[in-house]
Amino acid sequence: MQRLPPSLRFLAVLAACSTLRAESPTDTLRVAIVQSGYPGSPRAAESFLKTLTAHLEAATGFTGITATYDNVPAGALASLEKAPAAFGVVSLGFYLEHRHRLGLRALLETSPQEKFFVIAKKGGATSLADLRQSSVAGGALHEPRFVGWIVFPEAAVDEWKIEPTLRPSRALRSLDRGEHRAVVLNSREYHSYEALGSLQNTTTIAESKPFPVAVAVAFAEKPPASDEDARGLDGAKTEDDPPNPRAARLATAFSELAATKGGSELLATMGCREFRAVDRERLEPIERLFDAHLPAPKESARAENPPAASSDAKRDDGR
Amino acid sequence: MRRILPPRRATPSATMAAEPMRAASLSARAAGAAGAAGAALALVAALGCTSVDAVIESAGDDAVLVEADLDPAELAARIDEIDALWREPRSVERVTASLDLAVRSVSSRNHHAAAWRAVRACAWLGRHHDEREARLEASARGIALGKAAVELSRAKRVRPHAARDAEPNYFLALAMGAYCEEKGTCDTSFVRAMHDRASAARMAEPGLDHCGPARFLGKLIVETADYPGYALGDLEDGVALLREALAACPDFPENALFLAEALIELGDDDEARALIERVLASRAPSDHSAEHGEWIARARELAGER
Repeated sequence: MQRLPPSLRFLAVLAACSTLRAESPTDTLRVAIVQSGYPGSPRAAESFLKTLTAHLEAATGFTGITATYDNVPAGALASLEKAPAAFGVVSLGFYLEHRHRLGLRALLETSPQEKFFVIAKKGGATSLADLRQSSVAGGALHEPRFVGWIVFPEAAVDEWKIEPTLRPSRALRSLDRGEHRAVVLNSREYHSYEALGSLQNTTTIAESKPFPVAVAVAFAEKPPASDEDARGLDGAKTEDDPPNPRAARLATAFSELAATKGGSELLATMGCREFRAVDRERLEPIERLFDAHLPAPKESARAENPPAASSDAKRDDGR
Repeated sequence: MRRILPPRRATPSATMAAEPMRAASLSARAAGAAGAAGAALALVAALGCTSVDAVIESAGDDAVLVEADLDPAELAARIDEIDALWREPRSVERVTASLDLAVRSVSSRNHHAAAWRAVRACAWLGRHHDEREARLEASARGIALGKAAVELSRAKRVRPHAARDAEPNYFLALAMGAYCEEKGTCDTSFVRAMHDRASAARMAEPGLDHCGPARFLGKLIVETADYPGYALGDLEDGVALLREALAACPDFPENALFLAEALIELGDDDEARALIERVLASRAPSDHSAEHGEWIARARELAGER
């Protein structure tokens, strides 16, 4: 009787008709929750997902919504390959990394925003420059390109020996034992462990600007075959096109969570207080900065021989 | 209409955030059916703004405790029957019957001894009912009744942490744990309230349910250690409590199992392995035989991973 939740599924039978019922039993609406680096596991999140889908069904009128939760990018990609989603809540790093290939369109962002902190043991590293060839752990490091290109562009993250983790408390213990030179924490982790006194023997060597924790996205009905394909064609998504109606309706439900009964608990479990309209003026420069680091699309090769989705997935997994 | 407790209005968020369980007030209202005995007393939690109170609100009339007008002999017979229905082998039907009888047997004449038994039944049903909705309903009801039971135990308390504080607090914590586990969404105040209730039980009677309060607290701290905002302490704090439970109640396999799991997290595989062996060699406790199978399965799983 003592087990906790710990310590956060959607697919609805489609509503092509006014009753919002499925066209067929296999016509479903899936929501993907991807919070890279968060603690827990897909199994531990099952209760949360049941509660969330029940809430969304009541809010949207859709039936049979299912949802998945993943906290490791490779697992999330595998889940999406198995069963494509129409809507999702994904970490900002996951969005930037996969938005072209999955045809993601950001509709909402979480609030409040969060910073990232790099902490080191007192007497150890004093700057990001000290971390070259050193072991650095953290949940955010499941998305190292996001950390290196966007969060701490001044750090040579590609020269760190990164240790992605789902267990920040273990990472802190390892830091204390000298097994890591630094740990990357997000705001909630930082303030939580600070309140517990767990950061007493550490020093903060870098602090990022704030970012949304996650974005709510519509998935393209038919994702482009690859990042290059998507970027080259520039047609997988455009901000002027309306998102698919089901995703739009789910987005409305998410944006109203904070004001609905039971919604605040769902939001708290997802680590935020509300979802609000995405701030495109802030997001677009981040997207451009991230994309600027990506290899340029091979126009001629793509035109003649478009890459297959499977080979592209391998490239992503091995980033 | 006789009131067991004076009605106090719940004060809004500031107080609730400081200690949600304490701040929520109880108000008396007439029970729907005053009953043949006449003096009917209904205890319901006043609606507040925390998640705990939202849960209590959802329990509705199921959160009502009615003062039973029974003489001491009848009360004693009722308690015997409630406990007989609780005894193993447990089933949803028998525990539900125990609950139904308990909520009809609450009396100040025996210090509301039936109140915590009702919470105990709810906490069990919150984990073992076949239907998810029923599990949620049972645990929500357990929270509402548990809060009332805690208030009742406080009302006539002669010294802090009197032994009779233990059961209401402990089974309330278990009902909250069952609810959180099933719901998957509990805010931080809810988790802290769980911690507070189990701590109160530990202070009052540490040996209750084979050192259940320390076991619960240790597990709670270990499980939340990696959840920002929910963390109640370091993993080491959780391990210390689990060691306390095992030292005081060494023959209860779940104490060894939870400590083994926590030690694996800490990286102490050798001690964990010895504890896993201890669980695998254990006999089912007479009052927890149903759970024993789960513990053995988990111990085998851990042994396979070592």
